[in-house]
Parts: sequence; C-alpha cells; structure tokens
Amino acid sequence: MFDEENEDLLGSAYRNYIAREVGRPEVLQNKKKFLAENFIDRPPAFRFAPAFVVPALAAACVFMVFNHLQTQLNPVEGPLAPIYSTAPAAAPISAAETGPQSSFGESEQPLLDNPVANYKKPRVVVKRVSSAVGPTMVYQKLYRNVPVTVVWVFAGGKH
Amino acid sequence: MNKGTVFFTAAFLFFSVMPVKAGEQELRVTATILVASNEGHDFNLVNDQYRDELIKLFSYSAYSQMDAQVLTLTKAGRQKLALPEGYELMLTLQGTEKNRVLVQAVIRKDNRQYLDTVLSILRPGVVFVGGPPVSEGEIIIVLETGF
Repeated sequence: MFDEENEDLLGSAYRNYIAREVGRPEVLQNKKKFLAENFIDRPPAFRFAPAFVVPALAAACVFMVFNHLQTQLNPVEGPLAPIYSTAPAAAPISAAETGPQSSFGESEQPLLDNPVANYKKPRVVVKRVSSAVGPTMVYQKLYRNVPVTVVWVFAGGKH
Repeated sequence: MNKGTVFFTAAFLFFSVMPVKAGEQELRVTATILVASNEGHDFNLVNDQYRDELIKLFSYSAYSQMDAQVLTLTKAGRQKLALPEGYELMLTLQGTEKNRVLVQAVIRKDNRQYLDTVLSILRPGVVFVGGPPVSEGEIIIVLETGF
C-alpha cells in the first residue's frame, strides 16, 4: 500500500519534472529549430500531387494515342494550308464580249468545257452547236454566283 | 427468319431499286417558251423567278410567256413541242455520263434547221436556248431538268 502511494508520488513528480524541463523556452526554441531544419513543410500543391498527376498523365496518354492514330490515318504532307480562303469572285466573261464562238456550219468541238467561273462548275456544258440559218453563240453569265448557259442563234430575221 | 419477313424484305428491295432503274431511262424536262422583244416593258411571266435571270442574261425590254410544258424524254424517241409561228422544238435524251445527262435540242421550221445543239446537263440545270425570230420578237426557250 505504502509502496503504491510512493510510486504514484514519484511518478507524478517525475512527469512534472519532465514537463518543466520540456517546457523551458530554450528547449522549445531548439525543438522548433530542429523541426524546421529536418521536417520542412511541402507546398500545398504537392500534398495532393497524386490526385492531379494521375489524371493528367492519363489524359496526356490518351491525347498522344489519338494524335498518333490520327497522324497515321491522315498523314499531312507538305505545308499546311488553310481549308477556307477568300478569293475575289471571277468576273463574268461572256462570249458576247469576245465574239461568237461558232459560225455557219457544224462545229463538233465542245464549247465551254472550261467553266467561266472556276469556283463554280457550270451545270450545263454545250457539247455541240450548229445552225443552218446563221451564226450561233454560246455564252455564260453569272446569276447568283452560278454560271447560266445561253445558246443563241442569229437567224437575222429569216423567218 | 420466317417467310413473311423474307417476302417483305424482297418486296422492299424490289420496289426500292425499280424507280432508280426507271429514272435512268427517262428525263423530265420543263420547257418554257418565251417571246422577247424591245416593244414595251411588260413582263408576262408565270414564273417570276425568270425575271431577274432574263434581265441579267438578255437586253430585251419585254418578255411574254407563250407556253410551258413538262416533257418526259426517253432514249427511244424524240419529243416535239410546237413553238410560235410554225417553229418546233425537238428534244432527245442521248444518254448519261456520270451524273450528267446528254440532251439534244433542235429547233426547226419549214425543214430548215435553225439550231442543233447537244447539252450536257448536271441535274438540276437550266439552259436558255433562243434566237429564232417571230413577228413580235425572238423566241427564248428555258429548259429545266432535275427540279
């Protein structure tokens, strides 16, 4: 009984002694200095590094795989050019301004195989034209950016 | 797969293919007959959409629509269309090349060939054919296909 009471008293005195020793200002100062030198706090961003790095690496891998596949399927050769470009509209050139393209007799040569406006393919191409009464003329004019074909015969009032 | 499903599928395929084959042998053309002149400034047109095109393409001051007909061209024969003052227009489907159709258009009067032309038309396409003179002016024929 006596021994137990003495043991408790000794234990309490020892804990108080340790608490006083540890709580001394110079000890606390040395403790802070030791922790600062050996256990430096990392920046907050790195604390959650795995949570950011793993999805980022996964996204990068997916992007590289798709980019590789796309390059394999559609290899780009030569310099890149813009898909859409603006160009001034071609001025309509009609045969009426350049003169008739055929005269009396039959012409087997195809006329106006080349479109008047390069950016719109003509919907009508005159393969052959002839007349027994007068000169013929084939011309195209742009109507709403579409070449419209006209086949004309100059009969000269011979009706 | 039961018999009904097989029959229905076969019938569906048959009727799906048939119009395509028929379409290759026929061509519907709308021919609009106009008379253009420099007397007056009247535009007597059923289809007002022609007005701007006519002003752009020609320099006449008056246009009068005389007739408009839908013709079905086949490779078997030619279609005739009566024009003013004894002219006649003959249209023949000559064939197809890729997505274009070859149409021959002939304008005649009194056994005289006023115009003979072969047109390669990408459907839908419009071509103006004209020039034969009449008492009021000159004939202009608007040929439309694929509309």
